[in-house]
Amino acid sequence: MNLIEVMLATVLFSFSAGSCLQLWGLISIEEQQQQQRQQQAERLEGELVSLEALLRQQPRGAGDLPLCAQGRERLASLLASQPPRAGVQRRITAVEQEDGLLLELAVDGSSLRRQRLYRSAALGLCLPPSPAEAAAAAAAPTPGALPSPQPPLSAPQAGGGHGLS
Amino acid sequence: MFRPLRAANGRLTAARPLRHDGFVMPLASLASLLFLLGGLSVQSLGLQGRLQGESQRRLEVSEDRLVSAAQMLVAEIQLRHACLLTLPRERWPGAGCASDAELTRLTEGNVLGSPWRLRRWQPQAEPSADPAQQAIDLQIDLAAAAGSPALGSGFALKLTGPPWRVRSLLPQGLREATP
Repeated sequence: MNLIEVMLATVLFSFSAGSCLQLWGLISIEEQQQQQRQQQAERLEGELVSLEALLRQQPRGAGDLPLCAQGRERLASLLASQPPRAGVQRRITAVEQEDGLLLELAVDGSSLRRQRLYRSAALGLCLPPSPAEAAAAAAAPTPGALPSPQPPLSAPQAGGGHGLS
Repeated sequence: MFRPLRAANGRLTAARPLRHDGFVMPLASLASLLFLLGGLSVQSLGLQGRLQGESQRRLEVSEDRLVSAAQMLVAEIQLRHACLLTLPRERWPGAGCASDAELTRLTEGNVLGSPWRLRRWQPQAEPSADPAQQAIDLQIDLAAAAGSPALGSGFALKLTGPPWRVRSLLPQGLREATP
């Protein structure tokens, strides 16, 4: 054992230990971020599940339902009736279809978001028109393509905003 | 690096190499190797976790799009082509309540930036115990995105009537779409 050998071994050990510590530090930060994102995703999923459960619990008797032409207002009021969870942003936007809404959920300070289209007629929350009215509606020009992805939730959106809570 | 050995009788005997001589460098190399292996394994675990997270996010996006497509499709049929509600998809062309162009729009489209296709719309074969209830098996597929397989989802659509109207639409979970 000589001095050069000891020095070389010390340099090698220090370098590898330092690199390893740095790597562990980076990985642990990334792991924390990953866990945070997972928690945020679970929060959004929980919000979505509770909103859909609320929609499913609504009475569906013919006497309880509005006409589908007014289905959007009913749907929006139902979705707005439940306050969002802490840290969750909710935006409800009217879409082209008369009974449809776009629900967007996001978490404060995160790029994660969920968005789903809902229509009263598909949820059984409105009364469809009579066959004669439906035939007339079918003869009328139909809407074009379904909605495309919206801009980020934090960005202001021109028109159609139905409230953000 | 040799050290003379002294025998029990006090006389010097032949020298031999020291066993502990030069142990620092191999020890440092071994420690470095262990550090390297440990770091690599932890890094691979972290990478695996990140990939799982990204995969989960992709599944959520696909699920949102499939649910949205089902909502749009069922609502369009309910509001504009109600005579198709209780017919299997194969019989839609002869039903007389939708033109070819409308049928095309009912069987494929685009929702939230993702193309979808109707795979199956099939009323349950067995008559329901309650004649005022009807169940439809609905299946929708999304087009494959870059780097991920095409996904689809089944939906349980329940009707009440007649006249038939939608009572509930429940997703049945994601599955890999078959060609």
